[in-house]
Amino acid sequence: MSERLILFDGKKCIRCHSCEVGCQLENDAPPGVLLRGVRSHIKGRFPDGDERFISTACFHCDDPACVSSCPAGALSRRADGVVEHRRERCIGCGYCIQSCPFHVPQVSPAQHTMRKCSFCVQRIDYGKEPACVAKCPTGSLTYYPAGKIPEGITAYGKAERLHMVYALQGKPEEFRLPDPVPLNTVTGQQVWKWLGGLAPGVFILAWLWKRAVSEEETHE
Amino acid sequence: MGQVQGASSPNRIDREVMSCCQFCQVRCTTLVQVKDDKVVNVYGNPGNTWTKGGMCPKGQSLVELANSPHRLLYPLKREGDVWKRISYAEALDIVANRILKVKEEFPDDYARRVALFAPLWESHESEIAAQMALRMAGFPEICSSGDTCIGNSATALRICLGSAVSSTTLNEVLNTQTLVLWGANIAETYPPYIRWIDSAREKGVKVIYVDPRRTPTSNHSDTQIMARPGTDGALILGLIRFLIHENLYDRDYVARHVNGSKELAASAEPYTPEAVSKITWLSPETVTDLAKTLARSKRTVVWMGGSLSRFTNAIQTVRAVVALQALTANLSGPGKGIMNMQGGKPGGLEMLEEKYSAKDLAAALGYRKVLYGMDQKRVKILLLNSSYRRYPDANRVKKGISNVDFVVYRGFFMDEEAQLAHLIIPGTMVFESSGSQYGAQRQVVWRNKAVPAPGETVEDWRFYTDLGKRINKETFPPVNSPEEIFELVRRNSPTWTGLTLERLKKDPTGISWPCPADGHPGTLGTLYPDNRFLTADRKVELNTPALGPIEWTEPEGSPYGDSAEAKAFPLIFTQGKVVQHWQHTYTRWSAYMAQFSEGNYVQVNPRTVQSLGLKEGDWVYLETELGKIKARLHLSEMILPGVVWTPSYPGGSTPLKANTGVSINTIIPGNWDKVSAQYNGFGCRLTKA
Repeated sequence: MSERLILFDGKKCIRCHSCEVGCQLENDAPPGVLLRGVRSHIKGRFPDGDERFISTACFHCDDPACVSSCPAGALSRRADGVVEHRRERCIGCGYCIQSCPFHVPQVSPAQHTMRKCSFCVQRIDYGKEPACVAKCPTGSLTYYPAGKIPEGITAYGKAERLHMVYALQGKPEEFRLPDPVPLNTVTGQQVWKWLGGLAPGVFILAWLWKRAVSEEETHE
Repeated sequence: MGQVQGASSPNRIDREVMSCCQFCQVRCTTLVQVKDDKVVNVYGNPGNTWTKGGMCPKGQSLVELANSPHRLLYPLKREGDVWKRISYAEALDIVANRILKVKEEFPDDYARRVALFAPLWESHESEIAAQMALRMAGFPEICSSGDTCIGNSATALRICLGSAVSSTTLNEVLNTQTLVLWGANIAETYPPYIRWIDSAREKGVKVIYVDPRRTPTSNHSDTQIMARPGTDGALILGLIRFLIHENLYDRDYVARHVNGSKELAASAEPYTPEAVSKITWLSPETVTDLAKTLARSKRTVVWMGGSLSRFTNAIQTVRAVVALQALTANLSGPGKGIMNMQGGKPGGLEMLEEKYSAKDLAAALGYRKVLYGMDQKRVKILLLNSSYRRYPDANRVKKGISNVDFVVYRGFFMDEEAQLAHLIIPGTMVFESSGSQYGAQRQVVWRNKAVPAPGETVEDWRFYTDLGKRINKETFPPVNSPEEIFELVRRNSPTWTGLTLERLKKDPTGISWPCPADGHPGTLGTLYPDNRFLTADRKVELNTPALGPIEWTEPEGSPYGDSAEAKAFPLIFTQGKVVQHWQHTYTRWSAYMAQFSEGNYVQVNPRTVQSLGLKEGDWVYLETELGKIKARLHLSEMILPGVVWTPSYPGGSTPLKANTGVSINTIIPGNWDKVSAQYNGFGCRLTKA
């Protein structure tokens, strides 16, 4: 199966927030829970002030640390590279938040589960572009269903086989991206250590689990 | 529980309906996703040539707004301090009877006693219905939003070239050599058009951006010229003088196609590069380099931003733009022309007006006369179909409205306007009605009703048709749907003849008028082929005695003017749009838009506040001669020192804190030129709050 890819082109982004809102509407994320976010970096002094933008979401790592660390089996890497999150299994424990080198996952207070970019599997599995790509008015987000961006484009994360890659107008650190691209360092041993450390929280986990399940049921 | 959530897998929606956005003139056509008769999402229509299926966040906010728990769903009548719910039929009765009573009570003097504050209509049919209803009944006071928007550029273009709309269409930026974005922040006002600018640059088009602020549009331009706000007219006159003195203009063209070139040369004479440099704060070389670039360019398009219209010297500035393009023979033909930020309001509606809108009625006198009429307690009924806060010195307008016997509000939320009303008849949102809309590329698009109107909300076209039939019993045309009103327009306007409903309903791009015959593809590009302008003698008219010479004056209240008060307010006030808010009205009720908002704030260069001891994030008072508002200070290297910029969206009444603030127009002095109001360029100051 070919691996999916989204390329962000910093030359074209105008910080219009369309991708962010489009993502939220498509993925049932309430206001305040941004699964995609646009940031900017300003360089230079007047009259050469220069502001450039980046629109980031889950990077859909080739070897995702969040998948390694999830105790509930809610996260998995699909054959097409999409890191899928099954909200009905999520217990909101936050291990993925600790393990993600990009600080992507967040907990939605209203939904009691972790939320992150879904890669709009509900659209791409029906042959459509992800919502952020479809709604971008300038073409700064492009979806490559066959996973190959055009030759000659240098992009952050391309060599590391991330599934969300970035042609930046500046250095990665200017956009708060870790450089070099971090790799998965979560080992089984570490996960057990975290679990051990959090043993007293088992009851809380159970409670959260129950609450998450009943929440899903009321949404049915 | 299914494995995936979201709206787009086939089982998540019942249908997709072709529609369009009701906000700006890009007029994005959309596919509205409906589940159980509720709108769950909206996507741009990928078949639209102008937008390629993109959208901005404003259009998406409508999904939330249409389903908002804050929406007004039933007519409400004020009884003392409480609102009483009544039926639409009762509400209509009250309005119709009140209007008929005014005619009875003042048989010889009723015309100026009923007025309408018109919105940017959600469909052309609603606009036509409202005009017919009121004008046929003898009430000409329809205050259009243009008065306070781009009235100056529309008026100047109409006088100079014959039509108020852009002289060419967006596709021509691909055929030009130089594109000047004069105050036109395309990225934050017409986001989908950035693609066209990028495509033009890929073809080698040079983009020059004139703006005192660096904005996202700066990244899509080759050079930026940061002149002092309100001095654009002086800069253009400087260019004109240079072209004339250096003999860099098209003599032959001017002789054949331009009236008033001698007067122009005389009025441009004082604007030497040095004089212009002093006024604009640009170097003399910037002025002469720009003139040389424009002289060398074989084809130039000037795209004027709305801000050019919002200074008291605006009418002359826009005439100067026309003159500049005339001197270089850039008004007709491929890759040439002037564009503005305006809907391509259909030309050629004279026949319709003659037949149905009582054309012989004295022309509408506009907002200022209505305000005077309210002060004099002469206006008895005000149909408040838009925001009163769009006018400068908004508190003064509010006071005027409080003198009106009966105020009918057509709105969506319990906002500032609703608080002034005696009767509220809530309107429908864009997904809940059908109709045609026109856009900036002169295109007409059709939208279909996607979901039923909730509660007893009614469409504008329906309200004004119902009202029109009640107050014009014998004469109002027997129309009962937007389709029938559209047909009325099409049959009575020669430029729309070919725009059949059947064609429009299928076309995601829309068809651009003139479209004079069935099967005609519509017309893109220049509106004036072969330099045949639509003026009386078919020439570019630069000599209009009523408007005086084309010259530059300091904006009213400018800190660099002569008045003594001006010195007390040493900074230049400017305001503008942010990409996530539509004007200052109902996107404020969207929590999704609130995510990116923060109420009143000011953007200034650190050098501007150096001596004031202010730092990033401080609360400050932004003060004008009218009053002050509290705002958050943002220091930025992206703005010209000496200038204050503030966003225009905040207002009271919304429950969403980030969208809340004081309406900026409450501290904007009510200065007007011959055509429209001033919103920029007067003096202000900042103090620590």
